[in-house]
Amino acid sequence: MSQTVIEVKDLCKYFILHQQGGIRIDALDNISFTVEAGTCVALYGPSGAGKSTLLKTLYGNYLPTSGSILVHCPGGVVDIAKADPRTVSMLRHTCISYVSQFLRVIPRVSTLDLVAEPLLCAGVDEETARRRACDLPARLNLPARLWNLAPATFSGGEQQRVNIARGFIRPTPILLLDEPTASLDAMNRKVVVELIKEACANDCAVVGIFHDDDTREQVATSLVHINEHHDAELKSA
Amino acid sequence: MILQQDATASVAQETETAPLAGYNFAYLDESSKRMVRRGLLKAVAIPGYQVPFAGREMPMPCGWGTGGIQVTASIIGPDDVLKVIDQGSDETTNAVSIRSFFKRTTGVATTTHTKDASIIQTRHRIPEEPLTEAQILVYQVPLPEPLRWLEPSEQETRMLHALEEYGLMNVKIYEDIMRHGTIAMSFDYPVRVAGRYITAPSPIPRFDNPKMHQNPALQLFGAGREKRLYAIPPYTDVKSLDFEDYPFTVQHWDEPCALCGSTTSYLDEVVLDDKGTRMFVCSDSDACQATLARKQAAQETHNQGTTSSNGCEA
Amino acid sequence: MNMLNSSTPLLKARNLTKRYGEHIGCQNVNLDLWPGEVLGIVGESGSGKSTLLNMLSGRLTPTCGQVLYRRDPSSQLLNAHHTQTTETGNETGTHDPDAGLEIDLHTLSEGERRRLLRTELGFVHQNPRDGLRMRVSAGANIGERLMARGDRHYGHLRTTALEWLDKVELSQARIDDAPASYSGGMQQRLQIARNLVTSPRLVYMDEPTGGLDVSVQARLLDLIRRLVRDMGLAVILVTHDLAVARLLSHRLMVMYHGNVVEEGLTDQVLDDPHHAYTQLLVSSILQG
Repeated sequence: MSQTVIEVKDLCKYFILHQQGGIRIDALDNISFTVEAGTCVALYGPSGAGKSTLLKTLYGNYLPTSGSILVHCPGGVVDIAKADPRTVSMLRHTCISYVSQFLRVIPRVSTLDLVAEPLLCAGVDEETARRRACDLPARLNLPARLWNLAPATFSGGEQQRVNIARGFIRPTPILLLDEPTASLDAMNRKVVVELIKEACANDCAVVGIFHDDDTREQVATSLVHINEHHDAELKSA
Repeated sequence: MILQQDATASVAQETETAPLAGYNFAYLDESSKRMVRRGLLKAVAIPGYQVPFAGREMPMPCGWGTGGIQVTASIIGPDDVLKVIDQGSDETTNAVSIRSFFKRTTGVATTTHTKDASIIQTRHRIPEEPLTEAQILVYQVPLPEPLRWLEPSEQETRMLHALEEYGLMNVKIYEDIMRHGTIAMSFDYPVRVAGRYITAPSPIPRFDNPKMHQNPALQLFGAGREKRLYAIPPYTDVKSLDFEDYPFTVQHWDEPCALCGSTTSYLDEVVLDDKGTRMFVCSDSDACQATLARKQAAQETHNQGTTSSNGCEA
Repeated sequence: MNMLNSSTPLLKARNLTKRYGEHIGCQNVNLDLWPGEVLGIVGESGSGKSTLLNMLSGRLTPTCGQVLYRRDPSSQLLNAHHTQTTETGNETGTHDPDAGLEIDLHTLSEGERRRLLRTELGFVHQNPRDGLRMRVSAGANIGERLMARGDRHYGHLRTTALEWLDKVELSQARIDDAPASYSGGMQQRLQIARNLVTSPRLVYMDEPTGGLDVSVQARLLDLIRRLVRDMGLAVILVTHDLAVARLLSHRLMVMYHGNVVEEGLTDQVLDDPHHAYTQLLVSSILQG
């Protein structure tokens, strides 16, 4: 019996758009599921069902309206839905990695510096961080001539690989992936699949949204299906 | 030239006459003197602290030593003996006219000999001859605020003094070393008095700074235009600011005084003709003459000694 | 980020209020800032963010409320304040053995406050002219805080100044130039070096990238982020630029008409804004 890492219970989230007459948009309705260490849960469902919202809520990026998200970390159990910003911030530094859909970083900072940043923030010394920062771009077939350039001029796929490298460089108990393979070619998709499988093998709990069925089938150990009514059911893959 | 002759003539004339009628002793009225004295007492009580005072109009423009004159006028009594120097000399216009001013308004005795004076008013020098506890040195001060160089606001400089925030003063010294490779300030070199207030010594050469330290004489400072008084009581520590690796030093000359041969006094450079011939002579004219007189006396004794073959050495 | 684990805030504000007669500068602001944390304060002009920053830095006296700063335990100036601080250090309770470390910036004497501001604290002004001595050299600008602290070795001051020019990516050859001859971006980097030379624990920044070209901004942002991380600095950053706030700050406070209307993790506030004003602010960002 593997250890539960994430417990989502009765999670609800709606947005109120004050600028548009205060209309209410329901995004998540009573969602519950759990994620064990060493498994990969894929969120899937129709566009607009709330997959991204759910993933962002798990990262503390969106505040849920009600419900709880219990995270079992080395430091203890924390409810992200109610934790204060500092605790969430600490969890992100020690426990949760997140690969967003788009790269959003300081302009004019080189690729290697960007990739090394999560390690530096975690207190790894500069030399080690820089050495390790070279490994992932290489594995992701990012041409070495790009490593010392800032990613602003990179193609979508290249930027996404920088983003993935930033997410994977620092192994954490929880990894959240928002369409990591969306703009990648088959060869690099394969690398990402390998990276995810390695993470799972290292007892990481992975939650992801995967655009293409192929990748999802390869990595997912279970599925959370979110329907158009924004509620969900857990299935095994 | 004519003016100076007149002044000398009137001085000669008044040595016999009483002080000018119709004026109070030492020109200032007694309540003004008391006001200045109260300021001076406060200044002595807080060494180096600038005490504001209600400076009076004097019968000469600011910049001619009105601050020093008001201090002297407030402390001088009938038994005092006054010496006035300007850049070390007793005989420049400024020194002569101030001396004559006090002579006419008080009738006190004046002198050019440092050791005979009880009050010495000075512009830009400290006499070479060591002062005694019985003497008071009165400085004429043009700019009393040493921090003004970097901080134009009076309110702010007062605050900096009050809080002892003196980093700024070292910024100035840093800039000096950076520009010139050495501390190039040669006049008005800032000092710290009694380990507390940073004070402007008035534009004396930095050669004179060490004389302020632990001086037995009372040192009083008056700034007429800026209306400030300050003081260094006898036997007070006065330290010239510096850096550990750029310690304070005084000027020195490669040649002795061309007149008296002194190697220990502050020398002025005098240009002799249009070809640029120059010589270095003591700035302190009284000390120079004294050295010269001593030398001549020694020479004569020596001559006598050689003629009479007496054992002078014993 | 080990410093986030430390359990006591570096700076606390309690019910901080400033009224200008009838007009409210800002009111009832409460905040805790931990060591190593960057707190962004955003809002439009006149929202009270600069008023708040000036009160938090002790430069403006509040109408009511407290700003409690926790002193560096290794500071030698500490003992002098001990009696005073036990009265104000009520938040942690008198049983806390080091409750005396906490001082109210607004009950300190002027001299102590100024001393704190040039040692443990720093202030980076929007206009570098307000934070630099424009007529003295860059080296003296960097060295001034050290000289105020009592450093009296020209050679050491020089070495430190060169190190800091390097750290803020200014040419060491410019050490003897007055900042008046520097570009705006260089002046701002010099101002940062001048503040950081005493290794402060908390730096206040008022629109630090405000008057700069976009290209210069990016480098400065990267520099600030690196220095903050390497030195474990806590920063209170006032900006009206949400992009700057997103890149630099860990947490965000949104001010509107003198009130804090929303606060939280930076990305949470910007991506999932709840208050109507924040939604307006976020929706008004130009998409590059």
